[in-house]
Amino acid sequence: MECIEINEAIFNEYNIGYLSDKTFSAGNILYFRILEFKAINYEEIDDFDKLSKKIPLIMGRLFMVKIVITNADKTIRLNLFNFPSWDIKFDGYGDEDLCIEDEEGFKYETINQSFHNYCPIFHNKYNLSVGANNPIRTFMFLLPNEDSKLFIGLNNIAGRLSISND
Amino acid sequence: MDEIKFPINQLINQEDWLEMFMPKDMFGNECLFRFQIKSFQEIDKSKLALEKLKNKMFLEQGKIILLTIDITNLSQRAKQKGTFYREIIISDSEGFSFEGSINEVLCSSEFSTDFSFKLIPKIKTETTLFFLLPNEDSDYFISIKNSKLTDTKLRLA
Repeated sequence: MECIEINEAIFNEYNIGYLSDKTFSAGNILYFRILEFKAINYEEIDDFDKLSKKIPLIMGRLFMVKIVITNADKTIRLNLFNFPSWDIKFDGYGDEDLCIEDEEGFKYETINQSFHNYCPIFHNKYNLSVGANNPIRTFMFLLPNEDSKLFIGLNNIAGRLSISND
Repeated sequence: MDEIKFPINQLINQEDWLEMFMPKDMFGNECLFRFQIKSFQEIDKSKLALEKLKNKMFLEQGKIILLTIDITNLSQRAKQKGTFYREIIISDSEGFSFEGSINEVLCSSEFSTDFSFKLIPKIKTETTLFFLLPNEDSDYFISIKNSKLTDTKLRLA
């Protein structure tokens, strides 16, 4: 299974497994649950004034996804080479591992990093480091103004998503 | 066949939209962008922090043109702005061609309106490109660099 509908995952409290197949982390599995997925108003963002110069230029809706890493005790071992975002790279540099996908197959990456460029405080608030002490992470997405079912999907082919019964 | 060039002033006046289709980006993926040129104007260099540059001579020798466009990434994945930027060239009426200038001083200036270096699918956004052009009057045209090699196409949307 490569795409899991977000609302269904929240409603059924799916424990989602992300099996990494990347060179440095092949075989590692990150389990997470989606806690919340909602559209937010720009005004709800702290330091909105710092972003306001950029926001009016964008045609889209801002969404927040909150997940809890359910095997947080084991995620630390994924932090190979002291590069925490390497394996669970929702918000790292380069291509992201996980994404939101719409019904037409368009893929959307988190914009956490983009926000960080203009508003470090926002970044600190929402971009928690991975580890046993911080199992909850929040990611922002900018999605088109249209109705579509939305899915958690993979942004690359080096991995697999599954629903776990654990 | 000669590469297709579009006169910039005409595109702005007629509010035309263009499409750039790239069969393969550097990762081998298809790209499609739709964009509209909003403005093409010289910027006031006194508003740039040119003193930060070790060698600012090249910027002093010409005029810096700010090309402002609305763009929508119609590819199925996010694309780096550079994927689009690298393909664009501006040419003058004598056939001289000029590539965009990716310069920290320019990109971090008040003239840059970019939200992100990535273009999110389906989301229309404004982006800015900078060109260093000679200090002379000319009509200018937009086209694709190496279009015969890459098979990248520019067409009216």
